[in-house]
Amino acid sequence: MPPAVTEPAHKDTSRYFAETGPLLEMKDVTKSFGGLKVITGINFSVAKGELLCLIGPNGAGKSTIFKMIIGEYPPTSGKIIFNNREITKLPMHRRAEAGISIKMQIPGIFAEMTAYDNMRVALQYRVPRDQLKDEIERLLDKVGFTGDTSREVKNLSHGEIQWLEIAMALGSRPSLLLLDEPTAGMGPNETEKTAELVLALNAEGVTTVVVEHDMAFIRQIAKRVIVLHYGTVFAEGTMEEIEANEDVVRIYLGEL
Amino acid sequence: MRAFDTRKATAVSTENISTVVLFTVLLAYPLAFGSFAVLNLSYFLSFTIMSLSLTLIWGYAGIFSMGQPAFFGIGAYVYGILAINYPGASVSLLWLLVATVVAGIAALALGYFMFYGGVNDVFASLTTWAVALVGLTFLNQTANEARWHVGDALLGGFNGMRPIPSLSVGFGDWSVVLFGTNFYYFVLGLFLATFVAIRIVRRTRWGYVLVALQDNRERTKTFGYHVCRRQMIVFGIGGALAGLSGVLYASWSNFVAPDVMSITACTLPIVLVAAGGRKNVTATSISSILLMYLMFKLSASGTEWAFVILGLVLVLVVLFVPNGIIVALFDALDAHVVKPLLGVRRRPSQVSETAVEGTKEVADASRGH
Repeated sequence: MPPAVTEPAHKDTSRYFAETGPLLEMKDVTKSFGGLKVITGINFSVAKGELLCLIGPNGAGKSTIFKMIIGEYPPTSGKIIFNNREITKLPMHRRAEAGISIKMQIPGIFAEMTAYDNMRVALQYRVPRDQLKDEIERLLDKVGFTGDTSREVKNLSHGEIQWLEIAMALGSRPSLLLLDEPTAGMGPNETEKTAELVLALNAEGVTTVVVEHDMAFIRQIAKRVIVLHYGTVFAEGTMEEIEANEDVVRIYLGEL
Repeated sequence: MRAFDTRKATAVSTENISTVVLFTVLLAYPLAFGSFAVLNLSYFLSFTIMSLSLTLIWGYAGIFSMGQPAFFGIGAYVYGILAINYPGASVSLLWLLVATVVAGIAALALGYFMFYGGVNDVFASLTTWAVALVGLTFLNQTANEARWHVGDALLGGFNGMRPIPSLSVGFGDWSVVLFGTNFYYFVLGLFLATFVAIRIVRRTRWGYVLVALQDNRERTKTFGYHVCRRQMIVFGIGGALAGLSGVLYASWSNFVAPDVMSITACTLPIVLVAAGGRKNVTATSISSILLMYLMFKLSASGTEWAFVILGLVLVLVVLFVPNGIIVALFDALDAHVVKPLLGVRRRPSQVSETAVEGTKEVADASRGH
C-alpha cells in the first residue's frame, strides 16, 4: 500500500509564484499499463517561469508523467491543461507546436546525422531559413557545446550529447522545457556546468521541469521539489523541507 | 572553438565521380552497342526506377517496403487497361501519367491506414508484402474472359494481359512510337530525373526530417513534425515511382502478368537496393543495373540459379557489408585513393579530444556513484 500522503495532494503553489498563473496543470491524472497502475493519481501545477524538480525512487512514475505531458502516452484518466487549454488528447506534434519541449531520458539525437543537421531538424520548423545558421550557433554557444558540428553525433561524448539535446529542445523556443535526467552519464564538472545552464535558462524565463536522480544536482538547482512515490505526489516543498521530511528519507532508504 | 562547416569538405568524391561516369556511359551506350543490348538496358533502367523508390522510402525514411512490386503491378495493369481500350499516340503519355498517379494514390491509401494506425517497421514490411501477394492471388484467378475484363482489356489471369501498346508520342499527324533507342532515351530521361530529385531531396528541409524520423519517430514528433503524414506522403511518392517503373515495363514488354507481384518479385528490389547501399542513390542505381544484368545473363544461359545467387548476395551483404557493397567501395576509394590524390588531410580532430575527455568523465562518474 502506498503510504499516507504527508501533505495535501492539491497543494497551493501560490506561495512560490504568487504573481503568475499556472502554465501546466495535471488534474487527477492516472495511467495504467494493462493491469499495472503506474500513475495512481497525480495533481500538481507548474507556474509560469517556475523551475520545478520531480524526484522519487525508481519506478515512481517520473518519466511516465513526462511522456503523458508530451503526448507519447495518453493518460488513462484525468486532464492535462497547458496555457489554460486542455491538451489531454492533443497529438504529440501539436503539443510541440503549443510550446512543450523535452530532452528525453534515452538519448534522442539522430545518430546518423551531424550535430549541425540534428540542430537543423530541431529548429527548421520554427526558424526562417536565413536565420537558421545564426540561431543554431547561438543555441550551441548558449549550452556550451564545443564538439565538431560537422561530424556524426554518435562520436560525441556523453556530456556533449546531453548539451546538444538541450540545445535541440530549446530550438523551438518552448514555453515549457522538460528535462529528463539531464546529467545522466556526466561527471561532477559537467554536472555543475549543466546546473548553471538550467538556472540560466530559468532566469531567462523558460519554465522548466526537471526529473533527476542525482541529488547533488537537484540541490544546486532546486526551488520547489515534488517527491513522487507509487505514482502519486508524496511530498512537496523546498529542498530544505524535503530533506527534513522523515517520510521522504524513509522511502529513499527503502523502508516502506 | 567549434568547427562550423555544414557540408563535406570536398565535392570530389568517388560517389560523385561514379555518378558522372554512370550517366556518361548510359548516354553514350546506344552509340557503342547494338539494338538488342539497348533494349535490355532500357528494361534494367525501368526497373532501377523502382529501386530508387526504395532508396527514398527505405534508405531515407526507414520504411522497409516489401510491397513495391504491388505498385509496380498497379502501374503496369492500369496503363495496360487504358492503352488497350484507348490506344493512340496523342493520349499514350496521359495514360502513363494516370497509371503513375493511380499507383501513387493506392500507396497513399495503404500508407494512411498503416502509419496513422501505428503500423511500422517489420509490421509495415509484412503488410506491404501481404498487399502484393493479395494482388498476385487476385490477378491469378482472373482467367475467365467473360467475367474479368475492363472494356477490351482482358486481365488474363495467370497468362497475363496482352498486347499492351508501347508508349508513343504524338501531336496531330506527327507521332512516334517509343521503341528501341527512342524508348531507351525516354527511360533514361525519367531515370535521370528521378535520380536527381531523390538525390537533391536528401539535402532539403523535407529530406532531413525523413532521415530524422527513420532514426527516431517519437523524437521527431517532439519537434512539431506530423510524422504519420510525412510517412504517408513519402510512401505515396515511392508508390508512384514504382508505378512509373511498371508502366515502362508494360510498354517495354507489351505484356504484364501477375507474377510481377510474386514472392520472388517482391524480394528482388530489396536485394538490388541493399546490395548497393540503400541510402545512396548512386550506389543503388549501379547495383540495380549490374545485378539486373547479371540475372539476365544467368537466365539467358539457362541456369536456374539466378535467384539463388541473388539470395546469396543478400546474405553476404547483410553479414559483411550491411551498408552495401558499392557504398563500402566508395568509402574505401575515398579514403585510400581520392583523398590522398587531392592531398586532403584529416582535420585536426577535436572530436578525438572530446571523446577522450568524455571517456575520462564517464570513468569519473562511475567512480563517483
